[in-house]
Amino acid sequence: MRVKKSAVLLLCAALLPLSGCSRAEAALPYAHEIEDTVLMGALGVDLKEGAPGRVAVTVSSGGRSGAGDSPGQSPVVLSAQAETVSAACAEMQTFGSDFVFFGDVEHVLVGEEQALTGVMSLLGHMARDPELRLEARLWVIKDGRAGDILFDAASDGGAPDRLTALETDAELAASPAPRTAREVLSDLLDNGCALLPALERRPARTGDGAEGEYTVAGAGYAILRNGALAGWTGEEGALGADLLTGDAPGRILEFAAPSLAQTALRLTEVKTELTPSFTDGVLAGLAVTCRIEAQVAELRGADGLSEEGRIWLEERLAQTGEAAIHTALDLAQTLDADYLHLGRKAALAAPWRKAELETQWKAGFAALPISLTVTGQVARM
Amino acid sequence: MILFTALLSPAVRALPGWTVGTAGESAWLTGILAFPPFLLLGWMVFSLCRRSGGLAQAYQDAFGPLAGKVVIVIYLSWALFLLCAEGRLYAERMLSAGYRSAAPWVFLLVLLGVVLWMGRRKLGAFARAAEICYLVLALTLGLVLLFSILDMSPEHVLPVWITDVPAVTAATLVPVGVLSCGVFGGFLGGNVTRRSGDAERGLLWLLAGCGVLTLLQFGVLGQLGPALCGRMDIPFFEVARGVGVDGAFQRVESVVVALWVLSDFAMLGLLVFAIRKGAGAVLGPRWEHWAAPVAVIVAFLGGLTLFPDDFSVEKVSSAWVPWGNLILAFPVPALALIVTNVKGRKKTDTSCGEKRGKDTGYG
Amino acid sequence: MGFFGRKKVEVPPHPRREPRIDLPLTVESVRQVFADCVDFSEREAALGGDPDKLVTLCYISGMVKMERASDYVLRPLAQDTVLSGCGMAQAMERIRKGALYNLGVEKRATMDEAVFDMIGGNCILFFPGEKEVLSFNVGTEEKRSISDPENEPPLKGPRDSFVESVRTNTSLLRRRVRTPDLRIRELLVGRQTVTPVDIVWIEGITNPETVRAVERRVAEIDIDALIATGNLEEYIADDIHTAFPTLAYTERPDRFSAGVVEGRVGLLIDGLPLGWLLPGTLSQFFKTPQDKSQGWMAASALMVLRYLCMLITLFLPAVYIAAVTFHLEMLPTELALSIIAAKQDVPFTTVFEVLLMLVAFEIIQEAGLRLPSSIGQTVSILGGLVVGSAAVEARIVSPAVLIVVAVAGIAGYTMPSQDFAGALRIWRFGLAALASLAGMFGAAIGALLLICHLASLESFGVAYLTPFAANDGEQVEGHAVIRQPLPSVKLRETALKTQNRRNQR
Repeated sequence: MRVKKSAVLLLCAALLPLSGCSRAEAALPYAHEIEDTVLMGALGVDLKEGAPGRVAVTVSSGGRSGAGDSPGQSPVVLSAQAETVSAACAEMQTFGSDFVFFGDVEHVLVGEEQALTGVMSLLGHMARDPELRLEARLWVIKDGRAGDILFDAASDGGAPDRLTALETDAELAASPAPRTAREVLSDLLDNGCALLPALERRPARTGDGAEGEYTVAGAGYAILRNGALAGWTGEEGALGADLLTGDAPGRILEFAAPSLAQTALRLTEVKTELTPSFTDGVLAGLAVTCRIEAQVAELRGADGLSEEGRIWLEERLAQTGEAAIHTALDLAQTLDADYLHLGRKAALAAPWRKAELETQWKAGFAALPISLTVTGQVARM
Repeated sequence: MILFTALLSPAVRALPGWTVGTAGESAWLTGILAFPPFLLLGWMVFSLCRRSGGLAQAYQDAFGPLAGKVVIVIYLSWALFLLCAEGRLYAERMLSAGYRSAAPWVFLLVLLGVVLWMGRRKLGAFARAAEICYLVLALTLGLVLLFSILDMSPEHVLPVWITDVPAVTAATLVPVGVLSCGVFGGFLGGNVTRRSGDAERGLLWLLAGCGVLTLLQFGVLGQLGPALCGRMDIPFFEVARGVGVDGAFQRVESVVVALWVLSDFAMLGLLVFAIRKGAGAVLGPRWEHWAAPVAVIVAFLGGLTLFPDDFSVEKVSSAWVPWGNLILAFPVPALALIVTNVKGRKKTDTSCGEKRGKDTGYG
Repeated sequence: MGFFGRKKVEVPPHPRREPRIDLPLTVESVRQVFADCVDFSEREAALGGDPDKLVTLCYISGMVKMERASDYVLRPLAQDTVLSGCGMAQAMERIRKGALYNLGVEKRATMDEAVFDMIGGNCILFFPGEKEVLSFNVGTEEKRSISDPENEPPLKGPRDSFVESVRTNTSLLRRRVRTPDLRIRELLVGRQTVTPVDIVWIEGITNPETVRAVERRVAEIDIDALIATGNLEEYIADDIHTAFPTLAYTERPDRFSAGVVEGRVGLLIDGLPLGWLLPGTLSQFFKTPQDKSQGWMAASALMVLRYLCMLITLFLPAVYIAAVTFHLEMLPTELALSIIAAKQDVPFTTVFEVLLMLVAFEIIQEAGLRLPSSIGQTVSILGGLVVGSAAVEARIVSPAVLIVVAVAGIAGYTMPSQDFAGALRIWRFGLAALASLAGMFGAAIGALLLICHLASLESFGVAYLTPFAANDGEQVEGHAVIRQPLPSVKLRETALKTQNRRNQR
């Protein structure tokens, strides 16, 4: 009898949500059917044109090619404006009958104007929102708006696929290394500055595979300081940053000399050592030693690589690397933004100087004498 | 095993979010530095339970029946308070984990219902359930930490130097304070069958526990960095969001958050059983039966009324709870042990004196 | 009975009559007891051929072997002339000491003993004027022959299985466990069926407390009939308010013998071709006799697979509902998109789809059990294929749900114990329902309820979750999942509290 009573009570409790009692329903977590859902893969944030202080949020889903009986679907792009990102996202729920789901957003794009005003509020929203996640890749759009890129890519299979391709191709080509929102937020909070990969909108060219009028391509890195855009690395600075952060392997560098054939070198390994120097407990300088190893990717117009040619290539490799690293370091000191985490790396190299570095690094970085030694090695054909 | 499972919930809530503020990137060392205080606590509770079979009896033996009962009532009151706070924190975690449109009382009611169901049964059944929960949680924690450590940034946790020791020592108060609520496990000491090698096993568990605290903070800090850790509510679950293998499984934080209910169950169950034992010691064995339902009802009502919003419970759990735990875990058992030892020595002296008297013809 | 029904009429218990047949031990009394029984037979025989000395032989046709009664009882009775010269008492004594060639002969003094001996296949010899009778064991040996086990097919091992005769079953056990310490104690259960129940253990190994507990519980069974397995299981189990079996059974004598040697108590029931091993723990229901026939690595891999299948069959539908309805982020984007495409135009919600398919799966399975084996398999396959394919094409259900339910169902078939698989099927429904209410939280609470329920179960003082829990500090959880090489398993299970823990040098 006791078991019967317990079973009846449990059954009643379980059926309570079906009773139409709205309080019971509201108390339970909210569910929605998957077929009434649109999965967004990319999110873009811009300043609303003509209305500073308001943001324009654009989201795009991926396209789906039809398979078997199911029809394909072209990417869905939605855009809304509001004072905050969350309000704009909430407004999008009112567009159409489907539920807009942001949990699959893999890429977040920030327009240049928005980046100039700061990204901390966006990152804070991503940290607190249960759907958006900090594992999403963060990109800054150089000379452009994130919304334009998302709308352009809609006719080219959808922005998420293109951005994912850029991310995975970063190791093979000259695309900037992707970074997650979490890494950027962590750098901004710990270091005050961060490095962010940049993209730009270019007119499509014949042979680049784009179906629409425009395409999106890598454009070096953006440097954020105190949460806002402070500058761009440019191509040479991007190479220098990659060399210092260890993201350079896979890059192709081309060299030509009067006595040597056109040569392409592929970077295979980069080793960087930092040694801080102190005088009477005061930070006096930083020695950066970089060793770049490469292999010959292509040798045009010659049968083989002679010893003189190899030495020449190694010298040119070292010079190129030195110039790139110099550019990156100069930019860091000019902007007073240690976006390369040199201070942290110096502390790792000399932990007994940790306390001095913590107190003196930030204040002295901009004027710190940095000596740079770069060696190049062509290890194999 | 009950303690390990139960303490995982407050551990992931407090570490390393509450330690980074003081110790920065060296916060992960607090797990290692917490070993000596935990060893002291374990030794005190073990010694008291070995003599008297449970903390309740030990306090009565040490302080006398009346004063001992007063001490037990203080412990019971704190346990009830912790029940309310832990229950509310668990409900808050469920809401922030993704069930944002739900009501906290639903989560609290469901879990407290399960706790009550087990709380009215034998301790052995609860212990067995906690063992299974331990297996599940150990596997989950291990996987999350493995993936996080494999993908961490060394700059977030290194370098560490002697100059960090003062800050780390100060920060060690956090894990010690938060986790010393495990002292309530001592109330169940009377139900544990003594075996040889218990002390060694206890030491191994303690070492493993401190190792887990260290790895937990190491992995989480290595992923998030000190500043971001300090800003997050529960950094561990943020790290769990990033756990995954591309093309196989991803974004499993919902599973991890849901499975952590098992640790909350163990924690609330531990407190309920401690309250049962304490109530039995103070009011008599008949009341032991009613202690569980009363405690659960108080936990439900208290959780919702004492802490009407998340801010109040977070403030209490970070500011007051560690200090309350520290007082009940260290000075009180230490005093009880000292008094017990003194009493024991007096008894030995007296009996030796009597024996001498007999031998020499006195008395 | 029930909420709206009439109140239950209280029927007082009826105590046993002792003795059951309160009549003097005479032929007339036997005739009275077996009145209206066409199979009751009696015949007179002349002792040693002397027509003045007539004895009466009573028996039940069909229970006795006629040739044995004729050759070993009647012939020497008639041909031994020495018997004609003895008085009845003397003749009885001579016969009891070997004048008749029958192996089994007992003196009986009460009607109960004599009547139950006759029902058991003995013939009773009445001597005029004597208060006692002689009972000869001449029972027929008609029984099903020992065949291959149907439900536990051997891949590499013996091929015999238990039959309905308990004595044959004990002989199968004796042939394997030849130790003289093997004890077999018999109790009779059932007022109408009077079924022999044999309790088996090894003296010096099995925990005597467990033996006593089993004996006590079997002795306390006071029912009319012990015919079905439930008549025993539900009476001696610690807790019947659970879907999970707490008593392991087998139809294989080798597995039964291994369990008895491990230190468990065995139960054999006349009329049931099964042997029970007590206490029953969770890990037992995952073991098959093949585990010790295969190499330990292969056996361990299969054991891991079984545990994995248990988790799959329990949680897959619930996790699917939770992922698709509450936690879309758990699904890889491509998978989510294909589920969305597949679910277009399906009129039902995910929850209803899953529950509907689970019920359909159970219906097809149940229908397959009732059909004759020659067509049952074909119908099951056709039913599954046709119903499944047609339902998908008609957009009644989505293919993803069909796959999930099918995988969960097939995973359940890997369980060696059908009783255990049945329990998992019931809990699968419950977990799916909880997941439909609250997503992963609901599934986790369901898992917690399951853990708590299993943790509360005990079987004759041994925790059901042994060896995953309640190991007394020993770390042996892995041994339940990974089969150690047999030379390394030197001790018996701690939980059985055997008198002798060591099982090899």
